[in-house]
Amino acid sequence: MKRFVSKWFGLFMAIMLVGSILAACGSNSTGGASKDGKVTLKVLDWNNTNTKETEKLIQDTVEKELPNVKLEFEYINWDTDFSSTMQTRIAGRQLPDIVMIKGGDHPKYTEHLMDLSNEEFMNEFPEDIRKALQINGKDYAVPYTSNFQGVFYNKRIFDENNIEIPKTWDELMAVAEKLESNGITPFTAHFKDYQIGNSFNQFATVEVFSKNPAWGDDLQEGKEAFAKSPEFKTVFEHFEDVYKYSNKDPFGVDFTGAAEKFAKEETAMWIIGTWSTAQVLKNNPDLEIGFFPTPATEEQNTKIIMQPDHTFSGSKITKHPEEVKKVLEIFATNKDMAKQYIDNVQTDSLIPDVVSNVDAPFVEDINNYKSIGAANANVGNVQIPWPYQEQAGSYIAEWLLGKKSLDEALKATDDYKSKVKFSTK
Amino acid sequence: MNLDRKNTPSISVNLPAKPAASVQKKKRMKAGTFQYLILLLPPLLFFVVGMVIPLIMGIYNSFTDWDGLSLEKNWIGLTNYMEIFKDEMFLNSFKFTAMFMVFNTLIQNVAAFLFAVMLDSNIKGKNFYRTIIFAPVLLSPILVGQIWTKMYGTILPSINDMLGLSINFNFFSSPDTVMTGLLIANNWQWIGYWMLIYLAGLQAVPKDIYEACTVDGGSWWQKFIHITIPMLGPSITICTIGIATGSLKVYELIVASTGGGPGDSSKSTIMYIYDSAFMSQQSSYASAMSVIFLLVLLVFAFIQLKVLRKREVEL
Repeated sequence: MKRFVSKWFGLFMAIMLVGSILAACGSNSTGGASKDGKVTLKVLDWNNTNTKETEKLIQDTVEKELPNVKLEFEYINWDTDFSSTMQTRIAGRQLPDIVMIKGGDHPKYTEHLMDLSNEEFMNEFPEDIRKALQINGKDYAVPYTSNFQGVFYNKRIFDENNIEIPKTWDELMAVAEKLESNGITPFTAHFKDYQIGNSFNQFATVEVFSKNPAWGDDLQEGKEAFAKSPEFKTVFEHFEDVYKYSNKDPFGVDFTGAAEKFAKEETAMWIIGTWSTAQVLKNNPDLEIGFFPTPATEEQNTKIIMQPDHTFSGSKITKHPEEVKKVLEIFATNKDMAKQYIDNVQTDSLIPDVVSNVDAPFVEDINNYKSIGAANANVGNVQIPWPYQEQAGSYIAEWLLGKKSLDEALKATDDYKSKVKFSTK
Repeated sequence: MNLDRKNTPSISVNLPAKPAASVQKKKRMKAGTFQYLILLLPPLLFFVVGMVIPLIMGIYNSFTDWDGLSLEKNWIGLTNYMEIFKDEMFLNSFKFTAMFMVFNTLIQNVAAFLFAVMLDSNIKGKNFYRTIIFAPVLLSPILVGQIWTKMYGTILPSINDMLGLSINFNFFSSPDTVMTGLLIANNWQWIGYWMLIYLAGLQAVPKDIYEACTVDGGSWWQKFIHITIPMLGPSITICTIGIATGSLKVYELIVASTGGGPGDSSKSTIMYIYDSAFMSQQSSYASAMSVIFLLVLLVFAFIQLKVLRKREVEL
């Protein structure tokens, strides 16, 4: 009898275990309505500046306007994890209900995003902002913020050394030379992580895409090549100039280390974007930071570079499309939330009439240069995707470290064309 | 050839009638087998869902042009496989990984063995030393990467400045020294683990063999060469295979320390496969590289097992 009971108990346990595995495989983990009728929407977010404050702000606003909706945030690092996370979630049909997508990344994901073209709230945005993010004339994202890229500088150092703001690349090099001769390190460089990849597009925007806005498309069609382009050769050479005048051991310094160096006034300039200022001011809240546009070889191409940054999209397979649209509507229309958001993230809003209250010299500088006209970084970002820019950065690094000649680095960048998926065709 | 039935001798075997007890036993065996099979079902399900299905899907994807996101995939035959052998980045990453494996296998085996021999003797505080050497094993490779980044980037240069020296400790900043830097970090973490395997092996060597050798007038060195090393054959096999396969799969340490740089100088094969799949959206190409890498690992493991096991038998 004992054996009989133990045999059937074993069988029962095995069947229960198999059953529970199968049940787990079939369960829905993409969020849903709870017993109290509240709908939980998952949000994938890669913002890394003051996340606690921004999360509370969004949750409180949404809870006030939509009491039956709860947002659950998941944070990832855009540079290292966004692409892989999106890929695995899409493959597993577990894309979160709302996804923060970086302006320029949308063409990759359109098949999996909600079409927002006919939503009333999209009419809140001026035509040029919508167009900057549209794919084949359709809207897949609510534009939210934009960042600006250029050269941040230490105002005190510039004033004490009587330095004028440079308007061309040659003038920038003259400034660097003067600073160095006065015992000051001109540039902050963090080549250990993404700086070369990022500045690659920054320099290309003013040197290449300003002359041929379809250069990347021409590259895909075989009409252009890095090795044949004098403009891209100039882009590569800019890195040699920066390297020459940068802090010690740039290949051993990452973004955090660079922010610390700039904050401690060890360096005078930093070629980067507005996302860096929060980190710098955390290290030294009293630092007077100024800003000027990335100088181009020819003065007429020296422009402030704008990039649509944080945008919000809805998943095409969400189980709660109506709630998702209502939340996206809050993003598009709630100007109070938008204002507090940009103050927390220290960036610029794409919502009309929303202006930052951050009182800093660089904000004033950016607003002044904006009125002259800005170049759109996404022209290059969409045509030459980020992995391509990063890989070009690796070849530039190998050239700077003497492992390749300039021509070999340019040719290697051409050869990599077949190894990357282009977003546009 | 046709066999003539007439010429074939007829075989008649008189089988004994099956006793009732034997039939009952077989029935019980069948019920028992069924129970075992049911009990095996959960792990089998895990194995099929977690290993077999992804492997088949991966092999299938390697013959397509799937980008990892698109809803469509087209069959392109062996195109991806032919590309691999022309891909300089794959070959470079493989060369880096192979070098990393060779150096790790040599250094870790020798160092772990020497530490084990030292700490198996009667030195004072040996438990303390064992703990110290083993402690880094408990850390995640991500943390180890960050510790050594800080060590090379901040701590050692500060000591340099304090002592007025000019030794270049920034191993991760140059393609010429990045391998050294990674080997130091990796060996610092894992020597303690392999040392424990050798220690266990040393403690299992029967003491009477040493005593017999002493009686025969054998020296310390002769005992070491003719008893210790041969008796540690199985431990050497385990350690060599473990270190080699672990080194071939290196990923987290590099991600957390050099990111594959400077340039591509420390990009391991796994890292290149990951970047191709998830960054460059070349999922099918990454699958093809994974299949090739899997074959290399299998061949490698097979050779190692054959060679080392043969040596053990000969001993």
